[in-house]
Amino acid sequence: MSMGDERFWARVHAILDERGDPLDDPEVLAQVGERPDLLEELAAVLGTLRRIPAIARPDRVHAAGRRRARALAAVAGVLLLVAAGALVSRLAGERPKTSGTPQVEAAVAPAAPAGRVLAYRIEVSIESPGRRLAWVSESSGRTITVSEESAPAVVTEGLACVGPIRTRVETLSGRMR
Amino acid sequence: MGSTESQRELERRILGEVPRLRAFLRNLAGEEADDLVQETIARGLRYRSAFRPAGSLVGWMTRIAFRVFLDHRARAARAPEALGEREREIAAPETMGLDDREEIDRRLAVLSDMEREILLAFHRDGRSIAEIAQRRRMPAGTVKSHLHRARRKLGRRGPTQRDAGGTEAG
Repeated sequence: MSMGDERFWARVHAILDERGDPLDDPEVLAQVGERPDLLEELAAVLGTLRRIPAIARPDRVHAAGRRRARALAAVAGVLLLVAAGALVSRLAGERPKTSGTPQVEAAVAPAAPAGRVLAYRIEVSIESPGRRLAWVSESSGRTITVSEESAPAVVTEGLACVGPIRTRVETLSGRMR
Repeated sequence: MGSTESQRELERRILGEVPRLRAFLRNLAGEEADDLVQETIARGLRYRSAFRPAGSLVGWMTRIAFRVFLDHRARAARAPEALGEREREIAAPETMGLDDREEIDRRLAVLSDMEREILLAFHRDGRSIAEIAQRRRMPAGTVKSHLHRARRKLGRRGPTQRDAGGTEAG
């Protein structure tokens, strides 16, 4: 490498260190105009540097995973809320005058902006003294009564169990189950 | 060799430069390289009588390609920019095909860990030299040395570099 080359590269590095474009520099242009070998080398450097920002950062890949997990958790929260609402309305509609109040708690999570619920299936069972109800609700609107054991009883206490919530989440980047 | 025959031979050699010119222009112009290669070849054929047989065809064609690239850049700079164009560019950085990705991986593979990390910190993550120096607890001058060495290594032509055909001394 000649002294001329060293000066040339020092100039190129100084420009790149300042986040400039060496091909905007008259001195660099004059040099590469005379030296196609330098020009090819410079083009290879610039070509690689231009494509480097497109290389995924590992922490961004992890962050994307965390975002998906958060979206899933938010959707699950919303579904839990829907299940709780359905449960309360069913209890209110069917329950005779009782002294007890079913205790239903549901965590409310903010809806995920990057995802939406495509389908859900909720399995619910209610047990109270002398009575047990179980049914499945689906997003299609279908409700299947799994079992019903009726017995005249005064409900004094209610317990609701929401079965495993099956979700399918559609994100901007594709679908996952 | 007769004049017509030598002209045909030159045309054949000019066309043989396509893979190398494509790699060269792809480095400079990315996705627009194919159009520029076409223009370069057209210019080369048009002005082939100006080529001196004693000279290097590689050098001659490279200079033409670079001139074509500079003209293209000047035209692009003069062209009115559509509203929102800049934002779209920022929002969607250049995407890479598998070949590009392999090429970049191959070039980065020749760097030491330190060189690669510093290069990516500066050119991918946008960190300043001072910031990298602080994080790595080393003088800024040392960071620069690693960075400059890494860049130079990226420019060196490896034996497996794709599209590296049509070499000619000169």
